[in-house]
Amino acid sequence: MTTSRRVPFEEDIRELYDNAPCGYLSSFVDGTILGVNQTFLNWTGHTREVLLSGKRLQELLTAPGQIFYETQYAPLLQLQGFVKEVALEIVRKTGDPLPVLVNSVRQQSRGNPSTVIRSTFFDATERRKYERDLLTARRNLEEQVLNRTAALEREVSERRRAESDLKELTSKLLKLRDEEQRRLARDLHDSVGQLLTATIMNLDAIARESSNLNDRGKKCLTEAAELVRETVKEIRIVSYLLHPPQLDESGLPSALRWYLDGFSERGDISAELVISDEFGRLPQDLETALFRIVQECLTNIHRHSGSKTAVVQLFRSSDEVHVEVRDFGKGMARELSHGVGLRGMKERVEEFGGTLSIKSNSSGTVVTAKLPLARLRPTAAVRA
Amino acid sequence: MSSALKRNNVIVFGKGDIPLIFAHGYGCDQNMWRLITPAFESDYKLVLFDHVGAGNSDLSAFDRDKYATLDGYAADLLEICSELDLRNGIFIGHSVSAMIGILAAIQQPGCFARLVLIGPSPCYINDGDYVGGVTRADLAGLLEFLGSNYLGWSATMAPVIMGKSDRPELARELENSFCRTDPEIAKHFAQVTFLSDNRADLGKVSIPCVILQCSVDAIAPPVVGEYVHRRLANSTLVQMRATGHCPHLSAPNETVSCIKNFLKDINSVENS
Repeated sequence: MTTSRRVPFEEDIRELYDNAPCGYLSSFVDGTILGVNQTFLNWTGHTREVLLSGKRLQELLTAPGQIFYETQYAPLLQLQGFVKEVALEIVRKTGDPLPVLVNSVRQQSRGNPSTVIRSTFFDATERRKYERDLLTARRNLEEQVLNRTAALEREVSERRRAESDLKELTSKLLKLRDEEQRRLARDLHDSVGQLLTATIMNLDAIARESSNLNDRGKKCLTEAAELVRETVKEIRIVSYLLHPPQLDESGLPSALRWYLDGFSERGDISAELVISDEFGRLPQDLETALFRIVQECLTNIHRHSGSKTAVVQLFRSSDEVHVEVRDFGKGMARELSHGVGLRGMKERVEEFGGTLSIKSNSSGTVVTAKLPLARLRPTAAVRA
Repeated sequence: MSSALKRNNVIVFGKGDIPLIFAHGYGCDQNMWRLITPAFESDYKLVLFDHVGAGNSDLSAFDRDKYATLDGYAADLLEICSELDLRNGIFIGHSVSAMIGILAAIQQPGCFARLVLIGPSPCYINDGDYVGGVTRADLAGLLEFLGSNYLGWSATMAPVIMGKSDRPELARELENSFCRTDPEIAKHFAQVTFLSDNRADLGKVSIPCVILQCSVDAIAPPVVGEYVHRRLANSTLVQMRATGHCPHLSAPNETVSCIKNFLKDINSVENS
């Protein structure tokens, strides 16, 4: 019973080797083929006689396969004793390539002193097609990524250019406004002011002849003189607010002092200025910018904060000027912090390479601007 | 550790003073010398390294422009020699590294006293009457093979290459394997290797060289070995029994004895 069961089993082993669903091939280390199964022969069309007549495995490979065999497969097999899932191509008897996946292992054969390489071959025709598709897809994807990246880079640079154009435009607008205000202030003071002064002189002349007027005329004259004097005062204020002449004549500290005094007088907010007597002069455009920043801050405080007091502090070091405007009001509403006034301030500060920070909570707001002096253009050196 | 030594994963060992500098070829790393080095350890100072892109070299040092020709690799070799202060060494280069050694020897004549060239080829591609053994179509096919063969690898290799493996068991497994390279760098090196043509440089070398030529080699066939021998003024051609392209792996004993034979008079000069 035992014998009759073993015989068919041994037949099965041979059968399994020859007709396995994969190719089997044994070779010496140099590739000389020692044995091959029927599946391998069926797949490749070669005969056992030819393959066992001293043929070497690498001779069955396509030329690129031979290069891969010599540079990667063989060294790997020598070094680690096995190679797994290597893609190669066997040249069939017809000359067509058969894509295969090879696993090889180096073994000491029983009863044979030489080292033997045992390899299995799997038909990888479909797999290779799929791999090619995958490679093509990856290449396409990489190309798309590259194209998209390039497009994004273009968009980013266009956006940057637009932003820089906008900055330049804003800066020009601010300058234009400053100049316009300066001109308007001068016109108001010079021409309108002169005309009104002449009107006052005429009214004074009439007043000297007022005995010829009736009571109603006298009253009208007095009122007219009063109105014109009031107008002169108003125009003076408006003109100074548009551009305080002190800013050009005696500098920023005196312009700010005048402005804060007027601000406190006109409204119900007591504004204090903290500035050193040694503060000195700065380039004209920088002094104007600082004045406008303080003006904008105090206007905001007056309009929105509800604070009764405000403190304006200015310091300067060798390389920086620092302005801080503080109120003790209800804090800045979110929409205000994105408003046009603050944006204008930010643009002014950034034009000088400075930074603007706003800290606001329910107990008040602090606006701080720091403008570097070191980055001033040499032509705009600090005036004595 | 200085930059070149770290970049090229340079390993120095051995008990002798005369430096033996081993340069691996395309497709592998310094591991391919492991069957050869024990024979020289007691008599020489052995210097092993990985080309940038191979083995444990610094992959971040890979630069497509620098390594667009073999000169970039030759520059690395000279930097290694300079940092280790090696002079009059023996250079042992396999395959493409044989040519890298020749380029380095031309640039700095005092660096090497002798060259051992294993399976050298100054030009792999057939060109008119010149037989290199490889056609351009073969090379295109090889690059496609590399694509297929690295397709599976690249996904598993990437985290290890990046040094951020979240699968330590995979990293351990890969530590036990050899000749793994970044797929893109490997393809680049294949192109640079197989498209290189340094035939004109052979005439510029005058130091003694030995060519170890395998009897059957698809990549550097015997006819190429003979060509190199003819063009190298001071060369010896040794026809080996070994077959294939890597005799130092398939026939280490024969390779060792060929090298020792070439170096025997150096030792007798040293000892006298």
